[in-house]
Amino acid sequence: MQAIISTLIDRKTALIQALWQHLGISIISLLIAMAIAIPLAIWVEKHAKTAAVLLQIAGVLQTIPSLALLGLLIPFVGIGTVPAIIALVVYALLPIFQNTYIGIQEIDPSIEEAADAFGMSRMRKLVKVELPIAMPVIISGVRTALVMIIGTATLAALIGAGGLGTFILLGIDRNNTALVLIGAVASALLAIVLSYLIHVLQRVEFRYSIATLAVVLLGFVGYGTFKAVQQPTDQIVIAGKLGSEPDILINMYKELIEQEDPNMKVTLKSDFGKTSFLFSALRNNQIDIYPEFSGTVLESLVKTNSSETENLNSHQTYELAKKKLASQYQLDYLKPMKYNNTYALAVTKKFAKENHISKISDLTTMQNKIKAGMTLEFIDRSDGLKGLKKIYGLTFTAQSMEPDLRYQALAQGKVNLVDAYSTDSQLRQYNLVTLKDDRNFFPTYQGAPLMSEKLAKQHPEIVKTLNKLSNKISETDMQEMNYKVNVLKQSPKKVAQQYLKQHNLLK
Amino acid sequence: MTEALLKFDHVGKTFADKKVIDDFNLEVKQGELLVLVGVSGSGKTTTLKMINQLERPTDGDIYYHGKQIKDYNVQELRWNIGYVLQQIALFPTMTVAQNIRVIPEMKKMPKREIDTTVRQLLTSVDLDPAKYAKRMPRELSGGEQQRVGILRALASKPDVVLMDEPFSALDPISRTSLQDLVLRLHAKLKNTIVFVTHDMGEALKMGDQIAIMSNGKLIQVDAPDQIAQHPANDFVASFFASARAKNIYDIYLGRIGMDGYYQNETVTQNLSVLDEEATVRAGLHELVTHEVLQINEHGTKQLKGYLDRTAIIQYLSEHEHA
Repeated sequence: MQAIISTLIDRKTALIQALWQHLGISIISLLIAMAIAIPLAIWVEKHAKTAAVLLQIAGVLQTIPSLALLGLLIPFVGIGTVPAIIALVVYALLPIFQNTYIGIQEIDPSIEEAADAFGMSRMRKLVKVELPIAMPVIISGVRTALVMIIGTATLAALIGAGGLGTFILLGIDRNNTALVLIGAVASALLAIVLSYLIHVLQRVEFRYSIATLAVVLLGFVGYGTFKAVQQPTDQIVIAGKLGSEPDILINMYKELIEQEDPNMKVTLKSDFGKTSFLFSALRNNQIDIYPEFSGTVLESLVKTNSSETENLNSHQTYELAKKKLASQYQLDYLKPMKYNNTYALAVTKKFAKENHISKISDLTTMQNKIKAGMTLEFIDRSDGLKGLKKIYGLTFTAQSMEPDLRYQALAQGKVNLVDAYSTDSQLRQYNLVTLKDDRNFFPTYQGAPLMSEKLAKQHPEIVKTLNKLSNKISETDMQEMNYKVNVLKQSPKKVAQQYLKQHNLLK
Repeated sequence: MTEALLKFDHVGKTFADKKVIDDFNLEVKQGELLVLVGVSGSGKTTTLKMINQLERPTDGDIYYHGKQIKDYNVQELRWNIGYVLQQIALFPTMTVAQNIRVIPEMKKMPKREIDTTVRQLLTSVDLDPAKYAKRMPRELSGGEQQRVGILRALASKPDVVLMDEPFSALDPISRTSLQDLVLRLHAKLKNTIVFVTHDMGEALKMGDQIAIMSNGKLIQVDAPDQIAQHPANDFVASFFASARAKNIYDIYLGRIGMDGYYQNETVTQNLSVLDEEATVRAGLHELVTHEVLQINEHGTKQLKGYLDRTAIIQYLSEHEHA
């Protein structure tokens, strides 16, 4: 509870901003869905066959997993608010369409006959008779859609649209329950409050509901315009993937750039999303710079032949990544930092000492003593446990575990070997050591800033400034900084400044 | 001699190859209250709905003020033809006053004039405007609802008012009082009314003229006393007799059969054979010891159909208070 309250106070501004974004995305999506579904349902009212087909289509759309839908939209509309709104609209269509259709369909036929017999036009009958009678059913469809939208909108954070989902994702990533709870509870409360508001609106007169709706809409448009006008022209947007490490790095970038040129305005978008979202955002000029790993570039961003990528050392990996990014995407990949954030096998210091092991090949002599707990992803990857066993001739089997549980299991002695990322703060937290990859099996993942060639040419001073981090920050430095952010709850900005000052990069 | 306000000229209607109205000819004069009467399925409601174009004739023509009805703008035609439904069908989201205003508003009558009309109409049917104008239909009793239904049809002072079994869903007391109300309004407004019912008693009470229909055909049109004295055939006579019977137990079993005999011949045991002019009283007596009645044509031994206890009780429950 204490943790929740302190986190809440810490992140008050961020929460309000996220809440506002969440509300904006949700309401705009809901209004668009209503604007599509209600007229459509009215139009097919007299065409039972078309209605059945549309209901089927809306039902099928509903079954697409939201993550898959977001993924499918990226190639067409990129990332950010637009695909999020499209996905939410798609989900909201079914309940609104269905309820409008059924609401009108279920009106007593004698009432319809009366309306016809009194010479009402199609439009007048709709507005004066059918819609008012069907209204409670339609509204309940809208409420269902709204609750669904607000829940699903938490996923918008994955594609950089912000909202309360950022809290949840960040919390999961940093294993911070308070953050997850704040995000989840806030979105649940938002759903309850808005649903209640609609309920109230339903009871007041129709024209007041319309007026309220118009005011809300104007508010959003006004706020959006205000934000757009306010944005200074000369600004650099730096984004980072989910987690503390990119957050610390982009804070360093900002500090360094602003020290170099105090007129340059740097905006940070931390926890912006996963790799593919950031990469496509960079290519669509929605962001200007983000830190990327050399290994990731080769593995999932550029096209390579398998012969090119075999047995590369860290320098070769970086050079190949830089070359491919330049030729395939006209992107400039600046110089890498020192640390290698790759897979590693970790044991407790005590266990290493007792069994005299320091390298992965040492494990071959004591295979029957190994109790391994590893993430499912690591166990399954060819550049993970599968390949590792082949290269080192290991035969033990690993139990699959949730990322965070495996560290706890290790600390409690339930397992004695886990997979890890070499800069995980838990290595520091639980007093662990990583075993040396003495046969260079794991690919190298060195971080470096990625930006467009155009921007690099326009602002050569930024390139120069960011290259100051070249070959800085060791693995233990990064573990230490991650530990400070994740466990000691220090702000990434403060941790970044500390490091830069200690190493005389910041005055 | 004034020209007929409404004229059916060789009108026919076919639904999916089935002729439901066949060569129908009828004139309704200005200021007349004409009752269309017949058993269910005789085509009387379809005939009524052809007047305001809710149904279109497949043969022949209908004339209104001497002009073919299909040449009128449908909306304007309907604004001048009142309509009262069996299901009442007040618009549930509108208040009583709003319901009555529906047509005058479409006709763009001045607002103040509509307000006055609504007040006068409500007062004329003993519904205090101060108390009732703002009520919702669901807050009214069935009888009160249908009074509003009638006012809604009268509000724009239409030339013709169509009433489709308007009182058959009401309790007997409301029914009687509403019948009186319609007669009173008709006498005052001198409007033309076409009134559909399956109840001969109601037809006799309401009609200036009665048109009797059976199987889509018009059997006889006449004033009530003429029908009583000179029924066109046995059907009319027996239909009339059923209404005249002082006691419902005195009507002929054949009258019940008109609403539908039961053609199931599987029951051969425990059967009592009766003439169609046997009374309901006699029939019920037989049913104490028998399961099914076999009804034969009057005077002959020809089978007309079967009746059981359920059929008789159903008829009685529908007509006991008529």
